[in-house]
This record gives sequence, C-alpha cells and structure tokens, in this order.
Amino acid sequence: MNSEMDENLSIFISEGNELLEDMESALLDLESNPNDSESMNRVFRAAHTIKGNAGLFGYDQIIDFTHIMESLLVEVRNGIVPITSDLVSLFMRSKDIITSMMDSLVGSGEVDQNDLDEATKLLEHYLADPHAAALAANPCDEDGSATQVETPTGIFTINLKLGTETFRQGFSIKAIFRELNELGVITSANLFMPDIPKLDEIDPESCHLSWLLLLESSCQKQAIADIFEFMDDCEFHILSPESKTEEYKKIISLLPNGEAVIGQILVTSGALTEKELQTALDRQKETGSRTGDILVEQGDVQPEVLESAIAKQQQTRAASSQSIEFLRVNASKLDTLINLVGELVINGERVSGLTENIDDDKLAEAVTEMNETLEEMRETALGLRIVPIDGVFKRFNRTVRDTSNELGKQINFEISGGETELDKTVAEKITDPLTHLIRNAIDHGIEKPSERELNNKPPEGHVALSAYHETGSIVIKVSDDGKGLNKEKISNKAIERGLIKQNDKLSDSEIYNLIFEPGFSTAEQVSNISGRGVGMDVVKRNIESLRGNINVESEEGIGTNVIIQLPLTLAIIDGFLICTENEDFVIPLDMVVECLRLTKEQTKEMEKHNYINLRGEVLPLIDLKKHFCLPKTLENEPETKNVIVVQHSGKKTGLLVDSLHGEVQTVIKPLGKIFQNLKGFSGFTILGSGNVSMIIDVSSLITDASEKQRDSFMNQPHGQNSNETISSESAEI
Amino acid sequence: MSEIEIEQLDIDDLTLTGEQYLLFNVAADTYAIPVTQIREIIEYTEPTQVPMTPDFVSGIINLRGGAVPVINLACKFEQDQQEITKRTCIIIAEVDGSENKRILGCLVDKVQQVRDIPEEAIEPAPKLGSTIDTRFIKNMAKINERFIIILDINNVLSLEELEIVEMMQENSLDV
Repeated sequence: MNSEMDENLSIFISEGNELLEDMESALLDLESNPNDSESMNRVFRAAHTIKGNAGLFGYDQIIDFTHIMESLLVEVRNGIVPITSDLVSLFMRSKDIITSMMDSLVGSGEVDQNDLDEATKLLEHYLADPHAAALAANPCDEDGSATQVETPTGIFTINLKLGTETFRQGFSIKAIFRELNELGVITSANLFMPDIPKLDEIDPESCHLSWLLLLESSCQKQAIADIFEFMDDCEFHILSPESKTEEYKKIISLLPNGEAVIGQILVTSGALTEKELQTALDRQKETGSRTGDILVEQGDVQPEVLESAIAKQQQTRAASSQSIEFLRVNASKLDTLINLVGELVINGERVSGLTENIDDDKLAEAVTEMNETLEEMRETALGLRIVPIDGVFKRFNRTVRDTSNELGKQINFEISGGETELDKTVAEKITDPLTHLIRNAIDHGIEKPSERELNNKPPEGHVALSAYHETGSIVIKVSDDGKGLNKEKISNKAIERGLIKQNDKLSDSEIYNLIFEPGFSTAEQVSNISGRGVGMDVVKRNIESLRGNINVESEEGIGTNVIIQLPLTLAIIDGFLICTENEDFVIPLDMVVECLRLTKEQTKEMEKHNYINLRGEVLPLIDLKKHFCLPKTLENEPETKNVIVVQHSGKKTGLLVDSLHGEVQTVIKPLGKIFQNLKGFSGFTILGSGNVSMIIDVSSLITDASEKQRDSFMNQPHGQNSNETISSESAEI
Repeated sequence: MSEIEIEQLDIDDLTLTGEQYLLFNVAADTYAIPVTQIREIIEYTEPTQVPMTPDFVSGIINLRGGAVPVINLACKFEQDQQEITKRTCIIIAEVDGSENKRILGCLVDKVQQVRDIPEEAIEPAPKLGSTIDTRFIKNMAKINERFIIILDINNVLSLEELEIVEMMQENSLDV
C-alpha cells in the first residue's frame, strides 16, 4: 500500500513538473503575444490538471493555492483582467511556489511561507478587484475593460426532483432555497408531487417533492449545480438563460482542440455540469440515442449551444488525427529492455555462427529472418531513449527572461536545432552547464543598452542557442553578440593567479580556455548571477564527465561562441574494427578518414619520426600498441603495418595498428566506475563473437597522447633518442 | 562447468551452525569467501585486456551483455601465476563499494566446494607470517588440520585501491 502510494506520488510529481514546465513556456508565449488564446488555455489547463491531481491525493495546500490561481486565470481568460508583464510575473512566481510545494512533498526543500502568503495576497488582490487592478495596470484602457466586467443577468430554469432519501441523508429543503436565494432571486417556484404513493404506504421520512424553479441570477451554472452536489439521489436539470447562450458559444469557439467528447466540451464551457453529463451518459447507455439529443431533451442545454459544440468537436477531430500519442514509461524499464535486446542480438549472432555449418536451407532461412527482426528490434529499442534537445532548450526561455530583467538588459533569445536528437541522460545532464553559460553570456557578454548604442550595435542583445550533429557527436553552441573576451585581461589575470608565466606565448584559443581554470573570473564586480569564478571550471568538468569537450571562440567587440561537443552515448554507432597485438579495438567510423598500408621500409622510416608524409601534409602518428603498452604477443612484427587516419576537430592523426577488420555495428556501453580514470576509451562493446572490445575515444586519445608527449619531452634531455612511443620529434613538427 | 571436479575434504565434526563458504584454490593455497557474496561461478573465458591498467586486472568479460572487470587473484596476492586449465574459473562476486554494490570477477585456479565452516573453527587473522597481504585476510579457518584463508573480499577488491593503483600506473607511464 505504501509503495503504491509512493509510486502514485512520483507520478503526480513528474506529471506536475511537466505541466508546470508547459505552463511556464505558455506564460512566456502569452507575455509576448497576449491575444494567444491557445497559450492562455495551456496555462489554464496546467493549473486545472494540477489542482485536480492534487485533489486526488488530498494535498490541500496545493489545491487551495492553485484554486486561487485558477480563479484568476478564468478572469484573465474571459478578458476581465488584462494580461500584463506584472501579471505574468505573478503567475511565474505562483508556478515556482507550486514547484516548491511539490518538492516539499518528497522532502526536498520547503515552501517559503512568506512568499506563499504574499503571492496569495497578490492573486486575491487581482481577483477581488479586477477592474481596479486592470485600471492600475492599464489606465488608458478604461472603457474597454469596464464593459467587459458586466455579466448579464438571466433567468435559469431549474427542474429539481429530490430523491426519496433526501431527508434521511440530512438535507433540508429550507437550506437549499436559502442557498439559491443567495445566488439570485427565485422568481417562480412550482411544486410538483408526481409520484406520491398511496396513503398507507407513505413513509414520512421519504421525500417525493419536485420543483420547477425560475432563478434570476448572474451566476455561473456550476454555482447552482454545486448546491446539489452532495445530494446523491436527486435529479436536476438547469437550463441556462438565453442571454448566456452567446457567452457559451463564444467560450466553446475559444476552447483548445483537445477534448473530442461533446459532453466534455459543454462541461468545460460551463454550459453543462459534470453531474448532468453523467446522468445523460447513463441514459445514453439505456436508450442508445446521441448524447447531445438527450441533453437538449432533458433541458440541460440550448440547441444552439449544442450546435456550436458539435462544430468544435469536428474541428478537434480533424486536428487530433495529426497529433502523436505519448506513453509514460519508467526509464529503468527502458534500460532493462535495451540490455535484454542487446543480449538477444549477441545470442542471435552466436546462433547464426553455430548454424553456419549445418546444411539446412530452412534452418538458414529461419535464422536469417530472426536476425533481421533482431536488428530492427535493436534499432527501435535504442531509439527509445533518444529525445530531441528541444525540451532542454525551451527551459532557457525563462532563464533568459529572468536574467535579463534582473540586469536590465534587452535580450533577443534565439533557439535553433531543437529537433537534434540525443540520449536522454545526456540531455538531462547538460541543463546545468548550459544554464550557466547562458547566464554568463547575458551577464558578461552582452553590454548595457547604452554601451551597445555607443558601439553601433542594436540595443537589444542577441543570444543564440543552437544544436547540430557533427561527426558522431552533437554540437551545442551558445553564442552572443556582446563585447567578447578580452585577451589581455585574461592573460593578466592568469599571470596574477600564477596560471601562466609573464613571457608564455599562448595561442588565442589557449588564452580563451584559461577561463575554464578553477577560480578564474575577470569580472570586476561580483554580481549575484555570475562573476565568482566558480562556474566555468564546473561547466568544463560537467562536460568532460559526459566525455565531451568545450571550446571558446571570441572576437573582441563582436561576440563570443562557446562550443560544446558531446558524444551520442548509447546510440548505435558504426565502428571500424582494428586489431593490434591480438586485441580488438573499435574506432567510431565517423572519425575515420582513410586507411593506409605501410611497407616495412616505410614503417621503419616512420618509427624514427612518428609522423609520415601524407600527400604533402604532415600526419602525426600514434602507435597504439606502444601508447596502450600492450604486451607483445606476436613473434615477428607483421610485414606490413596499417595506418588508420582519423580526424578530430579539423586535425588529422594516424593510428598505427597491425590489421584492419572493417566496419561493425556497435552499441556503446559504459566502462563502469572502476575504469573511470582510464583515458582514451569511450566505452566497450560486445562483438558478434561475444568478445568484449574497447571503443577508442579519438579525441581523448589524442589529448592523452599529446600530454604524454609534452611530459616526456619536458622530462627528457633534448636530443636523447628514445624508443618511447612519443619522443622529442614533436619539436620538429 | 560439469568438468569441474569437486574435491571433497575430510571434515570432522561437521556442524550446520556456521556460515556457508565457497572454497577455492589460488596457486598453492586454499581460500574461502562467504557464499552470500558470490553471484555465480563461470567457466574461464579469455578477458579482453584493458590497456593501461595494473597487471592484476586481467581485463573485462562479457557477462550477459554487461562488462565485468576480472581480477587475477594470483597476481594480486603476488603468487606464482598458474597455467590456464579446464579447472580455471571466474568467480563473479559482489563487492560493497563506496556507493553501491559492484560486480567483479576473480580469476581462480580451481573451485573446490561449498561448505559450512563452524564458528569454532574460525580463528582471527595472523598479524605476521602470512603469504599474502594481511589486509586481505578476514579470518583463518582450521579444517582437518589444514588452514584455509577466509578472504575479506571487500578489501581485496576495494575499488578505491584499484583506482589509485590505476592512476599511479598511468603516471609512471608518463615519465
């Protein structure tokens, strides 16, 4: 029971967070385009669903708060309260409060009571006095908003048939009438007693009364229905006044295309109550006629309202045929599935290996068919974890909005390449570093509007976030058109901190990369957003923990680009299988440019230099067996050596290996914690034979090799000839 | 697996009060690990070497789609390396790491049997005179006048140590 509760709670939280995220993005849309009814509806729907879900679990705090928020949203949706930046900020704040409430449910964090009280008060203020609030927010629009406040009064026709149990359940007719009187004026009340039993069968405690009431009121239909809410066996039909027909039709036309059931459309618009719908649906089961007809017949809705709802339904159906359905699945279940599929593929390959020598056409056919299906299954399974990066990117709209408001800078934020796909785990882990980079771009990169104008730039700063695929990895770029990095400032700071020496000659990119050193900040003033220098090194570490790398490009006065390159872990990659000293290694095929074969003479020549001449270009070589310190397994060196040329960040490097085995399809699996310090590998894969093979991470292999080269160069007296993999030849390159 | 012969030791006063242990041989000595820490025993398959790791890391093997690192116990205990025979096995053990349980394989020369070791047969580990690092020894058990070393598998395969050694190895290569 308890675990079931936990599970429900976690579903509530995860769904709630999703809804809140959607609410936030809708609010942002709404701010830029206040007339966007679809965004308005998204906000409303999110608040409404959260309230409903919270109700299921009885989280009163959330219910109470979202209820106030929802009430205000209704006013906003009906155009009574105008949408202003202040109002959007208030809703944003409310959204944050709900988030913290949900967090506190799982024991992480607490709700700031002051914040809650204040926000509640503000919401209530808007709610209590929409006119005044509207005026305060928008003084020029006096006439427009004033006419909208008027809710027309009309006469509701209420057909009320009390159930026989009414009195026994403790309801009093007097109380019902008193409540109705509070809503409006009862202009007429006709009492019917259609099924009074014979005198000797009468039970004085049973109720057999029915009324036809005319109520003059400006209230909503639901308010009347609420009075009868708990009277289970009472049957009632409320027909709204003619004056409301137009209003309902208008609301129906504004509804989002999402609910395809006619009854639901009517309920949402307020023309029908849940209970009326339920009664109608029950009757529909008995009679088999259409819900709409029953509703009109019962006197629940006017035929005109029904018509507009039907029109809406058709519109919705047309739209919904295009939408995609989603299913929420526990991520660990997916992982298990993927692992199982992986095992199945390996076993499948083993089976085909075993049956190869059996001369049986039917068996061979069956095995081939099975393998084809397995292959398809593997691709589908692996695709399950891949998500578009859009979900991550969208969150930054809020970051940009808040940061720029805080700093008084105008930012034009642009997102592109949101459809680029990557593994969900990577997507989740990239959020924090990106947040940091974007805040940095706004705080340090973009200048104040006045300063920008002096430099002939538009006052509005431009920050762009983009993503694309490149040679087996995903590239994410954060660019701004701000003041750029000041090389001199960085160098001076680095010298001051002892990171470099006064007369060190550094390339531009080396200088820029100094900003990733721990404790480095050139900001003269520490703001609450950035400048403490505890960020870029964390960003770099986070990216590196994902086996990615980060680089900065900048031009002073023009802007800065931060480029993050991340591997597509867990994706199926096409690999190139190589062998050296009887050990198999896989190199991602995207990295491979070409293969060369060296003669023995060339090999000898190469061993002296550690580079070869490739069509006039210098191609540095890494001898894998020496780099990896593999023990010798072969008596004689093979006659010919092979070089596989790989390209990394624009530079070509040759890897010297014994033999080449061609292309293989591989699944990258992580090496595990034990080998986390191991450089040069991105993971392992299982070959068709069932053997494990290491996957070479070309970029870290090259970095590692050049580091070793530098170290060995520094530790060895120059000129000494060494047989080490990487020797002093580097100086000549 | 069927080819592994179980060698029976003559046991006096067998009682069922003690914990169950798996007995196995590495080089000349007999060692024991509580069965609760053992997940399974598999036939020897040649591990894939992981470059730039200490010698006692034989490599990794494919255990139903997952990579399991294999530790060569003879090498770890600085004993003579035995030839690979049909009795060579890999014991898949669970180790309590710093964060959570980890699966590691131990390359051993021969698996003997699973048996109870009565509490009274267990003696504290000696401080001196052992052939292997005393930190690896949890207790000694005396069965039929023969000593069996009960290993502290968490210490033998302690992750932190593996990582440190790995880093040292890498650094030494750089010079």
